[in-house]
Amino acid sequence: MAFLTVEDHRIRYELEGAGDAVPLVFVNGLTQAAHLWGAYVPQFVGKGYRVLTFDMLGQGESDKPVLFSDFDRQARTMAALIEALGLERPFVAGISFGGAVALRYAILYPDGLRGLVAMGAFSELDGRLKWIGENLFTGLAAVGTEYLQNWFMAFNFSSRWLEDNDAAIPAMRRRGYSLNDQYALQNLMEAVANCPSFSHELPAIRVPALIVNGEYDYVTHRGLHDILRAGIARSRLVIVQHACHAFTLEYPEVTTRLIDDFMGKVLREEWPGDQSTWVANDDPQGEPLYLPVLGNPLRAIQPAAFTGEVPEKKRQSTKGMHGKIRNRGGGQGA
Amino acid sequence: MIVDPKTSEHLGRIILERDTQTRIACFLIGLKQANAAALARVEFQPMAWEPYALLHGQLCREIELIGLLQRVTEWSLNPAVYVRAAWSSARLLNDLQFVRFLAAPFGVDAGLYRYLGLAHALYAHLRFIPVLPLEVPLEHRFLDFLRTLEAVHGREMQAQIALLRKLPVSLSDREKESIVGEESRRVREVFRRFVEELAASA
Repeated sequence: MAFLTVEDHRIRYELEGAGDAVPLVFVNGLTQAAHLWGAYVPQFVGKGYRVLTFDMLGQGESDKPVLFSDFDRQARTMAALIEALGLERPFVAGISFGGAVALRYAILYPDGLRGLVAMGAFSELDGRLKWIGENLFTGLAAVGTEYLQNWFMAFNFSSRWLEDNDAAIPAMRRRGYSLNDQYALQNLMEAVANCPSFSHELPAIRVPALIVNGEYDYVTHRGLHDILRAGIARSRLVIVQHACHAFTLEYPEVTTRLIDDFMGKVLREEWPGDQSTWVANDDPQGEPLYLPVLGNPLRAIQPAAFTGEVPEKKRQSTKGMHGKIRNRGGGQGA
Repeated sequence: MIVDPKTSEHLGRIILERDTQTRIACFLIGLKQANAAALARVEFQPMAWEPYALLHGQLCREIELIGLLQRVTEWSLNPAVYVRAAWSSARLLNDLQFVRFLAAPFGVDAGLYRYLGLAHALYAHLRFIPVLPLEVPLEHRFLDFLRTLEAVHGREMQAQIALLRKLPVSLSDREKESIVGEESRRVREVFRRFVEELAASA
C-alpha cells in the first residue's frame, strides 16, 4: 500500500508488475475500492502488464473531500498519479462511475492512453439514469450508506449470484460499509448529478475503445453504451451475457478475457474498432469470443417480424389489440 | 482503516467489556456535551434565520443521544476508568479547541464556518464499527447503538453539508476546503488516538 499526494490530497494506490511492462490502470465504481480488482491484478501481471489500482478521491483510504468533486477533478488526479508513477500511455479500464472518469480522462488527455475500456459507463444522464441517481442520493442522505449498498446489491448482481453467495454477502456489505463514508459517497454522487452531458465530446477520444455492458444492466442501460459506441470512432460494444451492472465482480473470467483480447489486439495493431456491437461468449474458454448479435441490441425482447391478419383464435386471446397487427420485428442486425 | 489489523482484532475482543464501553460512552458524551454547548448559542438567534431550524434540531438530537448512551452502556465499577476518561475528555476538548466557538461572539462569519466544519467532522469520523473486525457481531445493544449512531450522524450532517456550501461567508472555495480539511484532520487524529489508547489500556 502506498500513498501519493496530489493537489493536497492523499491518494492510496498499488502498482504491480515489471517496470518496463505495458501499464494498465483500473478505475473503481462508486462504492468500490482498489481491492475489488483483486481477481484481475495477478491475472494481468501474469500476462506481462504493469497494473495500477487506486482509491479515487472520496473512496477507501484516499482523502475524502467534503465540498467539491467532479469527474474532471478525478480525471486530473488520475493523470497526476499516472505521471508521477511514470506510466507511459497506459490502458485505462473503468467501471460505472470509474467508467465515466475513464471517459473524461480519455477526452482530456487524448494522448495520455493507449486504449480505453469503458464498462457499465455513461456520458450523459438520460431520463432514467437521472431519476435513478436522484433516488439513490435521497436514500443515501435520508437513510444512510447501507441503503445505497442494499440498492446496489439488487442491481449489481444476478439472482443466481445473490443466492449462491448468500452466506458471504453480510461480510462483503460490512466491509463496504466500513470503507465508505456517507459524506464522501454523497460528494461523488453529486459529481454525477452536476456533470453536464459530455456525449458531444466523445469524438475527441481517438484511441481504440472497448465498451462493455451487462445484458441485464438496468442502471447504465444499453442505450447509454450505444451512445458511447456511436460517439467513439475506434470502438466496439460488447454485451456480457446474463450479467447485471457489476459484471466485473460476477464474471471476472469473461471480463478478463475481453480486456486481454482487446489490449493484445491494440498492441498488435489488429483492433477492428468498427463501432460494431457483439455478444461475449459466456464460456470463458469458448470460441469464438465475439458472437454476432441477433436482432436489435437495444431491445430487451425481440418480437418476430410479422405483417398480416391474426388468426381468429389468436385474435380472441389478444382482446383489445385490434385484428390487424403490424410488427417490423427487431430491426438492425449485427 | 485508521488502526492496524492487530489493534482492530484486540478491540474486537474487548469492545463489550464494561471498562471499554464506559470509556467509549464517556468519549462520546464529552463530545456531545461540548457540541451541545456550541449549538446552544444558536438558540439566541431569530427563528426566521434559515439555519436555525437545522441547528436547533441538532441540539435536541445531541441531548437525546447523550441520554440514550447513558442507558445502553454497561457502566464500569472501576473508579480508575472514570479518572482516565475525564483526563481524555479534557484533552480532546482542548485538542478540538471547542473554546473557540463558546467564547467568541456569534456571527455568520469564518468562525461559524469553522464550527460547521468541526461539527461535520464529528458526525463524519466518529465511526467505531469500521475499526472492529468484520467478524464481530453487532447484535449487542451497545454495538447496535454505535451502528445506529453512525446512521443518525449521517442524517444530521446533511445540515452541515448544506450550510458549508451555502452559508454566505466571504471565503474562497479554496479557503473553505482548507478550513473543512483542517477540522476533519483534527477530529480524525483525536479519534485515532482515542482508539489506540483504548486498545492499549485494556
